[in-house]
Amino acid sequence: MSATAGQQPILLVDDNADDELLTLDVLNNCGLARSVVVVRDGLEAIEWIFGNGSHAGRDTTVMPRLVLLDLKLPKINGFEVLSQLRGDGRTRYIPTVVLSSSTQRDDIEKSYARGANSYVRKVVNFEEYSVALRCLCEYWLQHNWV
Amino acid sequence: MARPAAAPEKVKILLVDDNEDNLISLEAALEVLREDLILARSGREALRELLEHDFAAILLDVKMPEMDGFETAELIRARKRSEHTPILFLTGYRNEEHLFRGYDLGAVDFLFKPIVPEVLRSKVAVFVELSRSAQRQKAQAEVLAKAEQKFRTLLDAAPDAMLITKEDGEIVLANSRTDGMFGYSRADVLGQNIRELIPDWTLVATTDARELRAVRRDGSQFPAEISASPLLTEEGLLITSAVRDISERKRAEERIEERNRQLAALNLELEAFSYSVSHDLRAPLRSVEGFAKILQRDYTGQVLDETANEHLQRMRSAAGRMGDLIEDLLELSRVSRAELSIEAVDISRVAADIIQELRHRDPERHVDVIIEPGMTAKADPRLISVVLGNLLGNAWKFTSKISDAHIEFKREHTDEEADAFCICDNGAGFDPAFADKLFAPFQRLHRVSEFEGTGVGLAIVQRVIQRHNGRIWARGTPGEGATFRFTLARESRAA
Repeated sequence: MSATAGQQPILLVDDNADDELLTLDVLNNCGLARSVVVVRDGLEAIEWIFGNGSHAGRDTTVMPRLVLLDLKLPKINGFEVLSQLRGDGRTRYIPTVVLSSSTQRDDIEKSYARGANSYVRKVVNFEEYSVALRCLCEYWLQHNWV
Repeated sequence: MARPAAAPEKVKILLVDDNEDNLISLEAALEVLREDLILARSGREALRELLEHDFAAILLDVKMPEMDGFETAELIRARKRSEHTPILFLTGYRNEEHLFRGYDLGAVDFLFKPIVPEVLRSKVAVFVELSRSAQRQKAQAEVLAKAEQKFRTLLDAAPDAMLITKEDGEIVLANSRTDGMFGYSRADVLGQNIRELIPDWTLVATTDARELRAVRRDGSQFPAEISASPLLTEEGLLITSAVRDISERKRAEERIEERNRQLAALNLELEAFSYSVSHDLRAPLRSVEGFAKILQRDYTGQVLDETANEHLQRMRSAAGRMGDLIEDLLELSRVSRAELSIEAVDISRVAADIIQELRHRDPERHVDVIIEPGMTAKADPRLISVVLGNLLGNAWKFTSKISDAHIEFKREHTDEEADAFCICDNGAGFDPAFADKLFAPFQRLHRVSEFEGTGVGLAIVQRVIQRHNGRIWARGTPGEGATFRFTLARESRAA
């Protein structure tokens, strides 16, 4: 863990307000006190990360500790966001977890091909989703070294 | 030559003389030729014989009573059948007038008495040989004519237009199909160059059909398939081109291509649809389920009493069921469209893994499971695991209410071409009256409160089996268990 780990937020990219609330509920309840930045489309995600456009002037020395990324997003989809993250030296190794309701083989394969670290299904059962997301956050935030 | 020359048919020679002694000596002289000698004692008798036979030669005495040799010869020549039969006159003395008259009548030679047998024999032998070779030629001509007739019949019976051309493309022969196909009469087409009909015709001797453009007399074009075969003859190289009008086939191919394009478009649409189903239809369910759960978690005992809690529970399970339903429908659509990748699958192993997973999920259950070891099949591994997952999952589910649950998975030899795989249990079973409804989507024979499920599982199973060209059928008795048997097509069976 780097010295600034404590200040590094989780970036949640999701256009569905309900899903956002549910995900935030899990994050707030899993005891991993940490700030969460929410953006609602792919373009905003890119702009926030690289500090340009609507997020010009953001301190880009602080990069997210973890990106939770939906695939089906307005403007720029999740695959494209992944590609841009992986194509830039500043963001190449940021753990990025795809959160998607899709079970299409194609989506899963494309995600990994573009450098996703994990692929988590947004299942209907909230309990199940909570467990999966909690495990993942624990792993990427507490056990994994970047 | 039709026959080997070893045993030539005998030819006939007519000997005509009013003198019995002369006849005998002629016969004696010619006997060694071993041909048929027919004797006539008068001109009249000779003419009678000529009605019945064809002769290689006639030996005709000039001096005979009633009708002399010349008169006889005149009558012989008058008849069509014998107009060219060689006549040798026999005469006692040399008489210029006789000679003229004889040659005038078509005599081929004169023999003067007394006859010298060697001379007679050698002269007659010449005519015998002539006759024989004439016969041979005639026979040969007949054989040729028959062969040509056969060839023409064959040519005309061919389903294709057949054009026989010289090397430079000049048409020397065409069959009757040519008229209909190209609009030329057969006579018109002869002497024309085949390139008038098939502009891109080239001298490529290949029986592999080529697709070329063909042009009718009226200038209209049609696609043709042309195969050519060369034939080396005395007149040089001839090329037989078989021309088949493939317009119909082309149209059919185009129709199929069009259908395929439509299908591909539909498929794409369907994929987009299922993608959106998979993604968008589930999102509201997540909200219902998730927020109901959060309500239960955060407000039970404070704002929510037990009844409220129960209602929330019902909302959550309804949302969960709908989620499963969407899941299963997607799976059904996936297994219907997924490309099969057939390989050898260790069926016993797949089944064992599934059972292990079921035991892991339900550790408190004790189910006696027997899986025949070493069962293999050629199948799509992912899809076959979907089949076994459903069938074994059903057996597991429907034996959940009995204490000595028993599931068996084995192979059975059948009268059919392929072995049947058989999964049987001693669970809840089903009413055989509904056996045919079992595999229809959304058909359930049990209430959700008894056994949960969407009713899509067996439809998925059946779809996968059908895609493997196999068959699935079921037997059941309420309270005694169910047996599902399925085959995979012969070609997907392990060797």
